[in-house]
Amino acid sequence: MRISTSQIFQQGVDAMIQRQRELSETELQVATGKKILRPSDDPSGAVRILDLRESEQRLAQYQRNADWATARLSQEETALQDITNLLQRVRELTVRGNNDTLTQADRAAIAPEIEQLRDSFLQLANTQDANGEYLFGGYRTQTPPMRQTFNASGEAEFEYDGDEGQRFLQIGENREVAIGDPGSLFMKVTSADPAAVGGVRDIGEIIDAVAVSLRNGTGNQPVLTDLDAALERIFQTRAKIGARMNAIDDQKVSNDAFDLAVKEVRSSLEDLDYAEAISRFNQQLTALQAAQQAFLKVQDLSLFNYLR
Amino acid sequence: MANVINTGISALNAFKRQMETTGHNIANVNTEGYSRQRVDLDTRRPESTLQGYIGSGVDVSSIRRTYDDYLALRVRDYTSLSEESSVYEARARQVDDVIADEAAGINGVMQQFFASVNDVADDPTSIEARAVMLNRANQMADRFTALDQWFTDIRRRLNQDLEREVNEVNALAQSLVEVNRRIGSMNGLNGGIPADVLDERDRLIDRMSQYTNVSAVPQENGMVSVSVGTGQVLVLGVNRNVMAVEPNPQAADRMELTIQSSGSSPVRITEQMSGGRLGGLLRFRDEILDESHNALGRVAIGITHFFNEQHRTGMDLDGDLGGDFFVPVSGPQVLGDGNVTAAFADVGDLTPNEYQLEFTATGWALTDLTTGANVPITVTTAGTSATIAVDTSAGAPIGFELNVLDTGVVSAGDTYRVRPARLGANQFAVRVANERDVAAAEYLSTGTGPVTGPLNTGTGVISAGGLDSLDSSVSTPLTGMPITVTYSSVGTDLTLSGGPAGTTFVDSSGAAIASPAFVSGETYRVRVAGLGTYRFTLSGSPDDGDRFRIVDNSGGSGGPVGVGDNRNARALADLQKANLMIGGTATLANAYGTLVADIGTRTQQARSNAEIQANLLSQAESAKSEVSGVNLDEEAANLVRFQQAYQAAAQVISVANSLFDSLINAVRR
Repeated sequence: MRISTSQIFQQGVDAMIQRQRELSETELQVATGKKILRPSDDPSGAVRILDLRESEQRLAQYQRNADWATARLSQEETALQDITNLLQRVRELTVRGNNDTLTQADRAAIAPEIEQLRDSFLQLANTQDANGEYLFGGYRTQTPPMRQTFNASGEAEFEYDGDEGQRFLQIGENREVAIGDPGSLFMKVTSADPAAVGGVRDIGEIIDAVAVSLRNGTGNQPVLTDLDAALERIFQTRAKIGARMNAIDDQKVSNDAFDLAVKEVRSSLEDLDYAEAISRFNQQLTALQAAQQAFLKVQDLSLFNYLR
Repeated sequence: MANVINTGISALNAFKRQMETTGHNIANVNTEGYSRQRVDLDTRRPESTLQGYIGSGVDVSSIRRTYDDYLALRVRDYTSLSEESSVYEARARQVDDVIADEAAGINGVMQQFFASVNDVADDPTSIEARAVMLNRANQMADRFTALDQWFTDIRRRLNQDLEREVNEVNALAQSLVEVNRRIGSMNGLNGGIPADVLDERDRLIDRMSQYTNVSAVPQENGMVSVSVGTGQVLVLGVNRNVMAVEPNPQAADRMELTIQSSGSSPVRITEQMSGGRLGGLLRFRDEILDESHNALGRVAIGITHFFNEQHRTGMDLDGDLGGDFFVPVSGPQVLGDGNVTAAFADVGDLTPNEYQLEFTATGWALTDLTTGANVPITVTTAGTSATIAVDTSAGAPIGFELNVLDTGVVSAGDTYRVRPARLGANQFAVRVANERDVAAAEYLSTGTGPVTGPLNTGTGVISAGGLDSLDSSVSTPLTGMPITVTYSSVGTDLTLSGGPAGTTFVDSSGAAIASPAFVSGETYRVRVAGLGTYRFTLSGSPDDGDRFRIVDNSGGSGGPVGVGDNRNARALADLQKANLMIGGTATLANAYGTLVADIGTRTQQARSNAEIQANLLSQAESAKSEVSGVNLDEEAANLVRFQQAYQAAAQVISVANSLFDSLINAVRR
């Protein structure tokens, strides 16, 4: 078989270019640490990586939502804890006021403290979070949900200006959690007191009724029942908050586990096996050097060298 | 004696020719398309003597090139295939490199955008979160328009490349015409056509095959005719036709190749062209550029449409309905005389394909230009206008409808090119500019029990619900709110009171129902007059007379606005994982992922094709070069051989000379 001189040259050059191309591809892989440099390297893998990245982004979002929800629920829990303490103090005072050994003047003397507590309750019901949002206003987070007015006979009346909206956050692929409770859920109870307007009373009104009963020396047994009902409502709400916080913790653990699994899959698709890549790199380097040396040696061979 | 000298001189001449040719071969060792030449020698006719015939030397019979037509043809075919593959691969790789790139692709910005929507859901009253969302939205829009611009630039450069390469082909054709003319004038002369001219002729055809698939037909007089495509004549002897690049009459951004013979009008040959750089460019345009550009537009249209649809039913911080978040895409692009327009039907059904609408002798016909398939249509005529839609009983939906504005002026042969998704990325822009206008809330909310008076005694619960659809004409603030839903244990059903006049329960198809039966967990719909259809569920077991409210979350006229509501923001964020596209089988990101996979696969295939074609070409070139190529060692050996022969022939003359001298000397004495 004949072979032409330019063919020998071209073959040598082609071989070196081929080696160099392989080498530069491996070099780029090593430099970026990625197995897939462009979709055409592994089209289905590239698309799966896109999907997995989106999963990771969503999981990160769920974790952020979960942290946000935990912060909100803790604030709510703290406020409800304060309201519970306050109501328990009211209840103590009520029970003390019922003591037969007290005179009417003694009883009336308790009333100002209870009225003080009623005002504190108003503040707690209008608790704001760090962003200035009212915790217990439902969706109406920028207007104070609880308003106190006094009627002609000096009795406090409470008006709820919030609504029943409840904000939910997504904390898992199929899990959402309420990050608050509107005041309407727990601040109003069906009253045992026949004097209650419309048969219902707000907590503030219950507290005020206690003060009124102490001042007037009237019996407050129905009010005590209302107080217990209100405490019960708040306990129930706090129990729900506790359950939600537990659910969030569970979900965070499972999100983390899922995130780890997703990252592992993505890494196996995308990340370079350095040991393999480096040995491949060395192999290709040797091949290139061999091609270069072979080229030089062959180019050196010419019959003209001997024609002197 | 004279015989000996003559014989010697003939040998000297022959060997000198051989050495000259060897020198010529050596000189052209690096010349592209050069075929090794050799000198053929013939023994001179012997002279007759009494004793018999005596040899009289050697003659140069011819100087010819070593050339194999079949091998040359193979090189030409593989050149054209290999050029096509490598041009296609190089262009495809450009797109491939960009679309999945984290910095240039749109996956990253889409994810960031939806993350920012989620952050608004976390904290709907935060102006900062809303500002970030608007920022991300603008960033995403910028990325879409930048990619759109990038595709447009690629198209512009591609058009320039087509023009340049067609000019090259024309220049080569002109050169070939000139070579043919020279061959024609030399034909029949003594010595025939020089090998170097034949080489030049073949080299021109070889170079043409880099641009497109050519077939060369030799003619008896040594000239060659060349045709391109499926037999369109480019060069015929000393005449040639002119190729040109002209804009498509419907789509000015789409260049078509034409060929024109003198005295007739140009004929479009784009569809017939294959092979070479031109073939590679055209195939890249059909398979990758158009489809990617349209697929990008489709994602943009999807985001715009579905996000707007959800955003419109929401409520902003000021208690107003949301309106469009993105600037709506104007509609499918229809190129033609303007008598046909198009509108989106179900955006989720859009394809990245392009279509051709033609009015034929038998009526309207719609063709999918990407697949070449006929799309079954139904034509509904109303007065002088007509609506053309896909006949979904016979074919898959395509996501748009066409309207013929005036059926009176159409005539057979009217054609329109429809690019349903092309403008999406180009027009992608954010409409909302003020953070307060992001509609994170729902317009209505719900409550349990009456506004005043005793609480419900049962355990019935109403869900927060959401606005399903908006009426075409909205009139807010709503009057007569709230709407009260009362449960009656007598008929175990629900009745409605309050709300704007005309408010009523409706079923899923929108028909009014008076008092639907109560089933725990059932979804109910109320058409709120002047707003839209509100959907909620009722569950638990209510007592007789228990009431549920649908409340105006916007605060009506001046009331507190439910700004802490994040329901609509969550619904917007959920669009990220909803299967909205490709007939409800893919998310927005998947619709883009399909493009990435498609381009990746095509590029991968193109790469291996290009390698295979390059190998085949190199094999064919080796085979040709085995016959025609110059080997310097061989030439060196020949040089030695011819030199020795020349020296021997000179010696013959020298001997004859001394013989002559001897004779003269002998006579002189």
